[in-house]
Amino acid sequence: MGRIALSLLLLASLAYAKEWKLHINGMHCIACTLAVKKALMSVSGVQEAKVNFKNESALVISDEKVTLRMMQDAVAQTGYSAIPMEQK
Amino acid sequence: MHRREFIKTTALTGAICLTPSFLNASSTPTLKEPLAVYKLSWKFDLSHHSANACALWVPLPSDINGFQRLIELGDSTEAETHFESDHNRYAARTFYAHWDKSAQSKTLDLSMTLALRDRQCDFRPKRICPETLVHAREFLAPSAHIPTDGAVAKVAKIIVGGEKNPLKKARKIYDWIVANSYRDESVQGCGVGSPNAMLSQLEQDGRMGGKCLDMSALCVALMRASNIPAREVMGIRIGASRLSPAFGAGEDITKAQHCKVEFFIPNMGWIPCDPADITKLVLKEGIEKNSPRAMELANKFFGFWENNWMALNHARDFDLYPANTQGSLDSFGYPYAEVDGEYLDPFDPKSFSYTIRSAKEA
Repeated sequence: MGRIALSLLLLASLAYAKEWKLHINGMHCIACTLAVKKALMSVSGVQEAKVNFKNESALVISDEKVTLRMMQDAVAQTGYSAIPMEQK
Repeated sequence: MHRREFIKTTALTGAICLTPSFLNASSTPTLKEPLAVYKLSWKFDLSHHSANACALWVPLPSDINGFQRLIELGDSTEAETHFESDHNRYAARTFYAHWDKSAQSKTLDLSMTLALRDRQCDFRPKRICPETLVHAREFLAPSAHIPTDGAVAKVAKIIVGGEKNPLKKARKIYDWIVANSYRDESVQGCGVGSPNAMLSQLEQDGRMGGKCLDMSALCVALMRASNIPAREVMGIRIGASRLSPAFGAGEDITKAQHCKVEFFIPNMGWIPCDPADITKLVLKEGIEKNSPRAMELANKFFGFWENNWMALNHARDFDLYPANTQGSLDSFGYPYAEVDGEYLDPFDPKSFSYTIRSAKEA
């Protein structure tokens, strides 16, 4: 019973997960991706963040409750900026 | 000296002197210069990324100007693809390994034997081959992290003034960096290597804090802006220094990366210098920059590298081979790895994970 409930919870979280594609400004080397990733992961509800220096982009998977503003604020605190490329 | 040691040392001496590129050097190695032989062991283990594909690029030591020679390189790995290459813009020697996500063991062991001599410039004019002259001019150009215009050009002009002699211009720039910068231990790794960031700090605080890549990059940018070809050389301290504990390393050299500088004078060749180590000396020994000891070593380090430091490459703002996912690297003094295309932090060797150990053989 417990396992079923856990599976349902997991499925529900995936169903309600949001995928964000962000353009990241201000990265001057590959090591900057670490700081941007850390900032994005610090936002409560962000499940995964992959940052790419070459494309100046970040792919973020988050809960429904996470807003663009929350991620932008977190990224801005590290000295970079985030702009949405597209939202699913 | 035992007979076996003598044979080994003389054989290595021959190997290091026969390096063809030493004609490009600013001085000719002689048997008077001490020869050191080190055995290095690099161990990488990325097995904890059990469900991910991993790719690793390791910077290998160069054969440089008859003063440094990689005698032997051995590898042990079960990586599906692994090879040595220097197929990149700066011919930076690289060992590459790639593991598929299903690989159980994602380890790489590299062993190497290296012979090194002190590099002491005699500042005497000598014949430099035309190819070297042409090649050196490439190191006048700016790159993503090495601007030669704006604040850099302005400051270079102030430092150099009316001086026309390139060697004297280089010395003015070197002295200026030693005088105006300090070692900031809070900086991660070797620093960012941004000349503009250093100059902004100077404007704001009246002095510049950083580490070796920061000071070396500034030195290179100011020299290039003054029409002197120059480049940073990434490397690792691999043993104790005869001059100061500040310049040395123990057996665990995992975090002993250090960047130096080379500049080029048309009738002398490439000349080494190291402004950053003087700031380290001052901090570690608690002495003043104008103390006789600091001034003596600052004078020595304009034209000198000790044989306890191994040069890796002078690559900056370049593309790895094979290509990575993240794009151009700003420098290549640390191992570089990607896990499913994501950058792995080389400044945290424990979580990466890797170790580098060194033992002096002779």
